[in-house]
Amino acid sequence: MVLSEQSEGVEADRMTQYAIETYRLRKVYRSLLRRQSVVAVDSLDLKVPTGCVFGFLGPNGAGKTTTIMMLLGNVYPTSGSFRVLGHSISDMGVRRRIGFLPEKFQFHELLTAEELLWFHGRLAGMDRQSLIRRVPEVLEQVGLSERARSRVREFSKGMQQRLGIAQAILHDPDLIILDEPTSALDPLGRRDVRDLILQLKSRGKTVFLNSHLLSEVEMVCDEVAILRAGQVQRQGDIEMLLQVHPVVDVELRAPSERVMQAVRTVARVLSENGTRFTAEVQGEEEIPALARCIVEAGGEMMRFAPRRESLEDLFVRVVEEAK
Amino acid sequence: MRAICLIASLTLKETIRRRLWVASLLASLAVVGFVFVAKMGASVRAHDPIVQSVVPRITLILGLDVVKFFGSVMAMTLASGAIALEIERGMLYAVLYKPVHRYQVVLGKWVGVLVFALVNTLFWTVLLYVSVRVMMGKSYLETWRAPLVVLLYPVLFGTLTLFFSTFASMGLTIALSIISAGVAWSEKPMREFGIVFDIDTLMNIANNVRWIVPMNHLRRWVLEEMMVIVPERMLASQRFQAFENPPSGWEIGYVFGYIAVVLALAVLVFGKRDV
Repeated sequence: MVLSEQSEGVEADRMTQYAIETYRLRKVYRSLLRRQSVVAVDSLDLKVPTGCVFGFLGPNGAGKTTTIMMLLGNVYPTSGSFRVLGHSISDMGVRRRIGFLPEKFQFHELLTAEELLWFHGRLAGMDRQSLIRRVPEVLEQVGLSERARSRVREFSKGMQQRLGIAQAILHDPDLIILDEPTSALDPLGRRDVRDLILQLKSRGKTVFLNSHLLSEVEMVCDEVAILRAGQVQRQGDIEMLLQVHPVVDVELRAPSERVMQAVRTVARVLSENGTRFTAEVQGEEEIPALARCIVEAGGEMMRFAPRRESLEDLFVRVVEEAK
Repeated sequence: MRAICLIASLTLKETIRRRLWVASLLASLAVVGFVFVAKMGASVRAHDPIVQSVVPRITLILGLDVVKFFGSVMAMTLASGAIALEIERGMLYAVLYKPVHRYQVVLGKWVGVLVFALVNTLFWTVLLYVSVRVMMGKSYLETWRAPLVVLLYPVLFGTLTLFFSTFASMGLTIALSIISAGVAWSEKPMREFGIVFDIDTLMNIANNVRWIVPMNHLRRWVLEEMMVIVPERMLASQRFQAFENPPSGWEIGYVFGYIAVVLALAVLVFGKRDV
């Protein structure tokens, strides 16, 4: 009976609507004598739905890693609060359900890959039987099964990153936080990680992904938040965010200042390079108006390709708007 | 408890694989070499009964000083990187998010570092007694309590260094450990100068230093335990006047309390800091 109630409680936890919720989270780093202070994260309100792949984006120094460190309990917030999987991070039960790949890390290099996973698995509370089954499984998943008995110091940076991912998913956590998981990987490795993330998502896991590789994020994420100077500038469903401002790639037969002036009256020129330019319009209904205006200004179009705004376009626009 | 044991065994495994036993082996050779040199020195005056009686005793007393030094240095070396280096290299990030309390990390490191340092110190001590027995034909088993006090040296300095490691960088940790060892060591020359030149201020400073880093409480106890074999001429020297009052039990108690407080501080500081 007690067991059944406990498992119901755990099931209720798994059904929590948000895997991560932060309320006005703030972190100020102060110098030793408190003469200087740096606001790393400022009034951060974040909601990460359970079961989604969430992209956490921002330029360098935006406060992404500090936020992750706060969520994991490594850094204490100056003010505000947060919940992970519906609980405080000091709850050891919740910690068992989190997997984390740090951005800058180094493993105990004299251990073998297998020994390292055993250590982390035991630390995460796994029993011997589970580890006997799970260690070869995750090594296979990250493509390191043939190097199971090699010492970590013999591994390349990319292999260490794969091992880091293995360590993060070993105990089958519900929330996996990946801080730059593909920074040291080759294109094949990046594709493997992408597939792994999608596989985790299909199993109902929540993946919180911090990456500068926006094309990767665009391919796997359901939702994104763009952070700048410690504050969320934009957050939401990636499809919705990217549909707001369509972009048109145009190529003219010859460059023309008259055409460009006309274009600027109906659209925002994002980039210009000789006969080619990219312009952003307010909505899909503005696309025919842009084409008409180019023709009326005497422009001869070799190419007119409307497309959805890319995540990179959105990122650049949001970050520049926030400056 | 499981987390503490896991972290301790990882620390030990890493230490062994880093081949720190090579340093331990070199220290063993130094201990044996020290006894050998003393034996060679004594053999020059093989027919002098005073020399033959005094040299083995002095060898054992000074040999214990060598063991104390190696044990303390080994504990300080291991403890200085135990937490500071792991933070600098990002090793702890993959550990701290797990269902592990921070105090378990500190205690795990403390146990791992001290087990290695204590096993080595014990080995060198046994080696010293065996070398004196084999090369000089004397065994001073009546002094068995002195090596037990010697074992507290690595515990004291290892704990102090681990405490520094919880808040300072590795470089600063090493610097602070050397300074604290220097402060502790300075008591002896200060006291001797104070006695020789009759300077009360130096004596007062020396008295206070003993409380800041209580190495000399241990030193007094080791000497007290060795007193049964200290040659009479040495007992009459100026140096020994500093120790004319026998140490009391509470001095050892103070050292244990000091270690416990420093360890508690290490747990507290590491628990409160951002990593």
